[in-house]
Order: sequence, then C-alpha cells, then structure tokens
Amino acid sequence: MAVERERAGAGIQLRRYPSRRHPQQERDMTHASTLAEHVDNLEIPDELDRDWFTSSFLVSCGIDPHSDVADLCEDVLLASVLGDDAAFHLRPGGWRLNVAGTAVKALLTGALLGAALFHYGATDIPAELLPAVIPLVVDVNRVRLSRRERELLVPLRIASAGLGEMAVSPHVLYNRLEPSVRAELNFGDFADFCDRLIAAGHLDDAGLGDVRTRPGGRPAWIRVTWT
Amino acid sequence: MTEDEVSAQQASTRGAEEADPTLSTDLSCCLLLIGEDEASSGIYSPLAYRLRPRGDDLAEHHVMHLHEIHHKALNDDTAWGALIHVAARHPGWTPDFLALLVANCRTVHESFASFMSVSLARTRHHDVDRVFDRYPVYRPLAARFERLLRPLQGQHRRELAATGIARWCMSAPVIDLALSAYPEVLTLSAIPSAMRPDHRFRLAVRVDSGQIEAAAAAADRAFRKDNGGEVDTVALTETDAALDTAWGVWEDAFVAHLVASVPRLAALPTLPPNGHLQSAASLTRAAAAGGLTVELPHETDEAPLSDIESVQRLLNATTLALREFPYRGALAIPGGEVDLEEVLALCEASGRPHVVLHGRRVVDLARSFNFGRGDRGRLADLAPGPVFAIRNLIDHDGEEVILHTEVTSPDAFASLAGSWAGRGVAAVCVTASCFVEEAWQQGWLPALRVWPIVVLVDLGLAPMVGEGRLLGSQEHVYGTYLGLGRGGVRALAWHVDGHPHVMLVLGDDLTVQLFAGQLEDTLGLRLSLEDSDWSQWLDVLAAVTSNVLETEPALRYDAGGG
Repeated sequence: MAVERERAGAGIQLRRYPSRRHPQQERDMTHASTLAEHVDNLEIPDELDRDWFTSSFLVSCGIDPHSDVADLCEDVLLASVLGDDAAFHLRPGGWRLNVAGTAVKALLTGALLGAALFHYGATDIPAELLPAVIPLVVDVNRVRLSRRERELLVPLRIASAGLGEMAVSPHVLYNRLEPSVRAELNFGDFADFCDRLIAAGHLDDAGLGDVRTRPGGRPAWIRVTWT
Repeated sequence: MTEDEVSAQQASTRGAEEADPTLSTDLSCCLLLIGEDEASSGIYSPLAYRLRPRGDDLAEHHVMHLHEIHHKALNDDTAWGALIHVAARHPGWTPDFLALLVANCRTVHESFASFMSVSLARTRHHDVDRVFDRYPVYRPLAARFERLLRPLQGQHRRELAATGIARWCMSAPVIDLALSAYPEVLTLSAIPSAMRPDHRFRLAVRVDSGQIEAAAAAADRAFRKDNGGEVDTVALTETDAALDTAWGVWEDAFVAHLVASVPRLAALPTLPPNGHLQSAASLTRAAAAGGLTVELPHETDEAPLSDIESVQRLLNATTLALREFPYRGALAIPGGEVDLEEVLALCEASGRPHVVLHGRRVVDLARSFNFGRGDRGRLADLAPGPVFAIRNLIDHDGEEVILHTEVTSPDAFASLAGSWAGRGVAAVCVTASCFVEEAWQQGWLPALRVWPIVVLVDLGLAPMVGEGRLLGSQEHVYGTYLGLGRGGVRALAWHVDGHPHVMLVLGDDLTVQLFAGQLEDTLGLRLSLEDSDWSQWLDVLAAVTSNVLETEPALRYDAGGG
C-alpha cells in the first residue's frame, strides 16, 4: 500500500486533498463506489467463515489474501468479535461468525478501515482498537473504494455531534468512546493520534491542548492505495 | 441425588478446575491449539499446558507438543510473559486482566508457536506442512513469520530470527509499570500500545526483505567473530547451555541490527534479554512484603540451566490428557462400604483377569478424581504417605465412577494377595513421587514385594540418582520401548540391575523421548536400550499400563502435585 505524504517528517503519512479532485481522479471515481455501498452489494452468507472473508471479501476489495494487510484485516475483525461468545466460534476447520447482516457489514467495514489506517501509518493505536476510534474521526459511510485502483479515499470528519467547531480537549473525545474501549485504550496513545491528525491537517490545534473539528465544506481526505 | 450430594459434586468439580485452569470452560486466559474434530489439541495456561494427542499421526503429535512448549518458552523468558505469570498467580488480580494480557499477545504467541513447531518437526517429518490441513487457522499465523523471514538462508537462521523477533515483541519494560502501580493492579489502559506485544509484532512484520537480509548479515558477522564459524554449523551435540549461548549471539545481533535500522521499531521501549528479571524480582519482593507468595519461572541470579534441568522444567508443566474430564471418584474400605470378594470378582471378569494396586500421594489422588465432600474430608485426614487402592470402573446410578477400594495396611494387603492367588496377573503400581518419600517403605515394601512392583515415573530423573535411590549409582540399567497399541501414548520401561522393581514412563512420543534423553544424560554408559529380556514383565506391564490409561484422567510429571 502506498501513501502520499503531505509533509516530510510530520510523522503521519496523510495527504489532504483539495475539495476539487484531479480530473483523472474524477474519472476513476465514476467507477468507484463507497465502501458502504460495496459492502451493501455483497452477498454475505448467514454464517461468515475465514474462507469467505479472505477469498470473497478481501479479494473483492483488491487485497491479496496472503499479504500482511489481509492479516491485519483478519486480526481486526476477530478482535472485534472475540468477546461475543454468541456470535464467534472457533470451530474445527477455522472460525465462524454468526451475526445479523447489518452488524456484519459494520464489522467488515471497520476491519478494512482499521487495517488500512494502521498499515499506512496511523499506528499510535493498536489496530484492533481502531474500529472503535474510527467513528470518532472518520465518516465511514463516505469511504470510497475503487477496485481498479484499489484505493480508499477516507473523508475525515470528527463525529462531533453537538460539538460544532468548539475547541475541545482530546479527553472529551476520548470520553465519548465506550467504557469497554477506554478500559483497553491508553489515553496517551489516543492523544498522540490526535496530534498526528493535527500535524496532517485533519484536526485544528485550538491551543492550550485543545483540538477543533474542521469547518464544514472543507473535507479533509486520506488517500490510501493498495500496491 | 440429594441437594447435599449435588452441592458436594459441584464443589469437587470446582476443585478440579481450580487446580487445572486448562479444564475450565473459560479459556480466555489460555493459548490454544485446536483443529478439526479428531485432531490432537493443546492448551497452554501460565500454570501448565495440557496435551491431548489423538490418532496415530506422529508428525501431528510432535507439532502439538512443540507448539505448547514454545508458548511456555516465550512466556518464561520475557517481560510480558513474566507479567502474565504474576497476573496468574497473584491473589486479588482478576482473571479479566490476565485475559486482556493474553489477548494482547495472542497473535505473536500463536504465530511464533505455529511457525516454530512445524519448523522443528520438519527435521523428523519432511511432509509436516500437511499437518496444517487439520489446523487451518494456524497456517496463516505461521505464514506471517515465513513471509517475513523468507530472505534468510537456512531453516535454522529463520528459527533464530523468529525467536529473536518474538522475544523482542514481548520485551517492553512493562513490569516497571506494574511495579510503580503496585499494590494497585495495573490496568491495560495504563499500558501504552508501544509496549503491547501484538502491536509491536504488527509493526515488525512490515519490515522489508532488505532490512531482514542486512540484519542477518550483521548477525552472521557477530557470530563469526564470537564463535569462529557459521551459525548453522554448530554441533548439536553441545549442551543446551552452550548452544543457547552461541545461538543467543546471533539472535541478539540480528534483533539489535534490525531494530536499529527501522526507526518505528527503534522508537519502541525495549529491555535487553533478561532485562526484566530485576524488576520482576522487585515485584515478587513487594508482594512478599504484603505476605503474598508469587513465584516466577526465572530468578535474577539463576545460573544457566543444564540439559536435565531445562527438560525437567518442561516436564513439570506438561499434562497429557487421557480424557476430557476426570472421572468421579469414590473411596471404599473392604468390609465396610464394599465387599473385597466382589471387587476381585470385577477384576477377574475383565478380558485378561488382572488386579493392580495403585499407590498415590493424597494430593495427587485428590486432584485426579472428582471425589465427593465426604471422601475429600477422609483424604485430608489420612496420615502422610501413599494411599493404596484397587481401582474399578463401575456404574453408579448411571454415572461412571472409579471405585477406589482402599488397602489400609500391609496385613490387609497380605490378605488381598492371598485371596487373589491363582486368579490372574497381579501388580503394584506406585508413583516415583511416592517412592522418593521413604518413611512408608519400611512398613509396606516387604509386604508389597509379593507382587511385582512397577514404579510409574511422575517426576524428573535427577533426584533419583544415588546410592539406594531409584536409579542407583553404579548399577547397569536396561531399558526398552513398549508399543501400547493406543494412539498417542508411548512407553519406556527400564530395570536397574539388582532392584526388585521396574520403572515405567508413559507419555506422548516427545515426552518419552525427553525422558529417554534424561536417562542417557543421567546414566551415560550405565544405560543400555538394547539386548534385554523383558518376557517375564510383559504381562505385568500390560496390566499396569492398561489400568493406568483406563482410570487416570491425565499423565503428569510434576511429582504428584508438588
């Protein structure tokens, strides 16, 4: 996976894209769908197993099932469901996952995005916890997937319902996470993650340790391309 | 069944699970090797590992055992592993925290154990990769190391590199965090991701092949300088300690060069090899100051282990499961709860009539069977020394129970022997851990010798060497391997010249090999594994092995529970 850098030495490999995309990119996107649309269009079996996950889902996203990105996707997916005894079963022949359709779609999307973000450099937070943090910083529904270019364009938008452009401490964002996630997520790691988002221009530094979400109409983008 | 009996049974079941966490239904604190329905399986907990060989596939049995050995090795030698050991043993530290610690190293642990077990088994089984067909979840885990280490020449370099990387992943200064929080229990959220093994592993596996090759070249140079040759030419006949030292040079140089050349790895806090021992000792001292005892696998001033000691540490942790859960047990005294003649009639009714009198330590007996509350109380009140009993599998109200008919005195045994005369094979089976406690022998042994005595080995061999001990000091020792016709379990028997008894070890193939290696190391030229006549013992050994395998829940080598 290649990543385009905006700032050398900024510590995070993110690039902010202008709101008007390059004509070439525009052309590519005519053949692209959002990740949510892509997952919606998948025929997901009632019982999801490893073979389907790697051969059908990852391959459809252009991910080599024998790559470390695929390993990451699987790790993140399994970490998301391991605590749910009713849904997850380590059975002879591999794992099986039995969850209602919509939940599976959210899990698949989260696994892919978590792995992608971790793989291209958002490594402050353990990969398995990223799906819990992503909704705080990324509008998942608008993640785009181009199979031909195998790229993800992730519009970053802080899930800040009620926060607007108010300056808030990273503590406030951290406290919006589920308690079970906070029990496993180190606050220092989360704060470092926010710092990297600021360095890459996806969050604004509001001074005195606070952060501010970006104003509407100026979406910031992360571009990730599989190689 | 009355409420009291139900309660008693539940209490006894809980007792068995508490003694062996691998029997618990909640395995979140364990690392597992689970395959298809009839595949062999292994469960590692920080206290022990439990093996369940199935079928006759020796390659599969070797992979199973080597897999669990590598979980133990990785935990015993690293900071994160030491924290797991503390969390498993420290009173008041909840299983939830232990489960989180295990969850955060599961990927590196399973990848390492899967890669190493198959790699080492390949020296005996060229087609060992087929074993993964029965463990499909573990193939991609092993593939993480294979993909990463493909640029390295030779399987041995790859094994050293995998060991170095896995240990590095588990070597953040996390014990210091626990120490600074003590006596408060550390929480996972207090541990930054930079110290978590799986996080470090995911960063490490993204290293490119050029960096791996450069690190190996640096390790080769360091090894040549230190040992004057290539790392894959060291003679395997050297002792474990010598090999560990030599290979450690390559492993340490490889990791040091690799980490230094990758900024994202160099930025992560890392202890040198064994750098956690000082902090771990401080943590156990802090616990001791509060009146708590927390024992860890290694100490700071520990000398390098000999071959025999390192094998014994493995054997201490090994449990070879013979059935899923222990039988319910019941104690009975002839003339009271049971009629001796009825018991002997049961023995006589088996396919090949035989009776075996088992001698076991009380603690060993108590953990091996789910006794009711009354029997547990009775065991607790018994005088020190072995409990001698005949075992029969009986049907009690639809439930299978092992009836232990106690033989309470040498005179009672003499009466039993007289009643059995001429009715079939008879033998005494006493564990070695009973035998090394000598106080009971003077009263019992002269009587017991009416029947052939088999000493069942349940501890390491080192304490058995010496004048008057089980392995003697000068005598010649004749040994033989036994085929049992039961998949997964092998046997090795030996006889010390001039001793009235024989010794028998039962285990999976690798365990029996480890004991054979201990015998060779311990006895040297005194041992002969060829040219001995065992015809007089075959019926006795067959009776003892079948009786042990039919009634014991597991084979263990921890001196009957310590």
